[in-house]
Amino acid sequence: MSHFFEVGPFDPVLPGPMKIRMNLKGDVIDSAEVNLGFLFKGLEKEAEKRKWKTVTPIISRLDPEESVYSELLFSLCVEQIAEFNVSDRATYVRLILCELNRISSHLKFLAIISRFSGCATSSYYFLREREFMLDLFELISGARFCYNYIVPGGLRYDVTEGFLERLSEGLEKVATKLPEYHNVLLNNIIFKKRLSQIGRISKEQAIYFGISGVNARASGVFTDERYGFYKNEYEKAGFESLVRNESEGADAYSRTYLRLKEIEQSVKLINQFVKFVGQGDFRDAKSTNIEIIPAGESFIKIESSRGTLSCHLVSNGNKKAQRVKIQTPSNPVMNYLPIYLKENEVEDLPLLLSSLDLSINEVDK
Amino acid sequence: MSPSSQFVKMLILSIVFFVPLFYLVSFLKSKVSADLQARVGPNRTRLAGFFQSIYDFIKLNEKEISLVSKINQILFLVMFALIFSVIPLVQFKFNVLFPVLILFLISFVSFLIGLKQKDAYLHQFALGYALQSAIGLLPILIVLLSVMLTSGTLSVDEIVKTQGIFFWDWHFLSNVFLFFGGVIFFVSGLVFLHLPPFNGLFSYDYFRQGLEGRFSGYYYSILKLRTEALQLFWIIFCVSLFWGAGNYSFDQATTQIGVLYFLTISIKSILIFFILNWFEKMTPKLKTIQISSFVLKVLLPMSFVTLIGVTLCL
Repeated sequence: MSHFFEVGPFDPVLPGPMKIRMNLKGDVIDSAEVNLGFLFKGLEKEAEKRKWKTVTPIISRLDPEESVYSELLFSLCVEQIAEFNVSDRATYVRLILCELNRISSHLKFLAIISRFSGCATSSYYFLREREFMLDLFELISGARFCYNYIVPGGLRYDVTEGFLERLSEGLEKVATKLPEYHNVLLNNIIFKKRLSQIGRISKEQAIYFGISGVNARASGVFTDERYGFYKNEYEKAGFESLVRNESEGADAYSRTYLRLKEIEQSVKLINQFVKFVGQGDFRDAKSTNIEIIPAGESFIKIESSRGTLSCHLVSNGNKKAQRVKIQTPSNPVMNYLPIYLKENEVEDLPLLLSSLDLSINEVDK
Repeated sequence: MSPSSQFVKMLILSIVFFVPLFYLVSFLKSKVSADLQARVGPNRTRLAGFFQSIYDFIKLNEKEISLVSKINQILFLVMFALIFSVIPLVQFKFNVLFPVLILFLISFVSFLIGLKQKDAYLHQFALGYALQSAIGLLPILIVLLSVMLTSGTLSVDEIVKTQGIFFWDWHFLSNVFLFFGGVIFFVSGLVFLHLPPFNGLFSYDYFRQGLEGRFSGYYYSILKLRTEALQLFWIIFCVSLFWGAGNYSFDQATTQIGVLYFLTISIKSILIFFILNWFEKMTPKLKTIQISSFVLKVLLPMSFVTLIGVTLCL
């Protein structure tokens, strides 16, 4: 018995406003079609219309949950063209915020996937720790989302007094809770049964579709932009990318497991970065009042919590950018989604989608 | 005393026993769940949120109802009547198959509610519901056969009287297989009635929030009432059959022995209710097909082992 089934554009199981049309054969998805564009913001064009110093608040709306990465990416592109000098203090604070955002994002991912697997209690535990991460962002930038804190040339303000102490306190709290997360969710036999063998992504498929981040690393693809622009800083902190090598490709459980491991890794990295913060300027004096950026072109890639985030920026020496083009990690996954969903059970749809950690905000930019 | 006045007395006693116990258990459940989940829980209404359930009921009944055209009101009325029909059953003056029949009807009406919705998705899940209920009923009937062989009767009242409050007076001491039979009976009942944690279709967190998510207002409150009331009733029923409700009679309710009876059954039921609630909150949910597979691979063979064991021990 085959029938047509549609989810969206607004549905609690979806990662954002989108529509999935499916042909079902009994319980199994025979074919799927993904429709996007319900959240289109015209963000790139809006960034091209604004003056250089007013672009950051717009760019931070790329994905409000992960605005640190988009702000950093744009700032790095501008800095490369304008040749601003960013102090070590500003660099390490930026990296601390990146890893903090990674922990926050992965905790949210775990909260969502545990909710969809029917385990409401553990989702509250993950959100409880995530609240502390958001409090830290509020302390340093004044906002819980869309921080507008990382700007071309450094940071908008210096680090708030007491931030680093509270950061250590928060990280200790997360580190002590990690075994609890394993016990309550990942070691749970029912959770394993629900997530194992569903949503498999093979290594070949991940490479062919350009999937990046944890989704690719779980399938055994070595792709991590933390070895890119900030390679020296990460290697100084003893960073080693986590890659799972599974012959049959990664299932939803492997991706969840790797994200929890990344939280553990980020805690260690932040503890190292804190040691390197030191004293110094938080912003290059030349960058405080940017009017015109020299003509030039830059292309930067960084590792956001979802994967490779890249930006191509072109300046023709005017008050505004000539071209801003951003490639987000969720875009390639969207192309892969119809193949990914095929031959899985429709009952698993919430888990299948949430295990990819998609962001429609990023896609409909 | 005439049979009609006897029935009215029993009905009043059942309501006096069941309704306050139900309300107390719902309140404690919400507080304990909140504590487990590191959140505050109900605290706005008086007495630490004691009146929250009443407030929720009033609020739900004032809400605007969506999808009115697709709702079959008669089925909901039947469901509501059936939920209340389980209340007199706590006096246990019936054949053991009678409560099972009522629960089967409730299950069947739930299936029809899903089937009546003009939605391919819900049709599919209603069929899944029917499958789960049918499979869940098999171990129940096999264990009931074991109970009949041990007690020599199917009257709940007499089965209750054959065992005392304490575990050394229970069936399992004379026949250890029956203790495991009780566990199988209890779990199979949860599967049969789609009660948490085996509530594939009726779970709130399930795909598109299940059937409950489809309805609003008092339709939602009826479905919610169904889940909560049946869960408590099933626990009381299992305690009576297997885990010693006390060899007293319900019609002695006004005497001191009756009070002891209420206390015994309430304490045991609340204890089991919280163990079940803890399990429900702390573990993820299985799919309908996984639950059915669990019944066929584990519960059904174990129920046959119980039957054979009980027969051999006679």
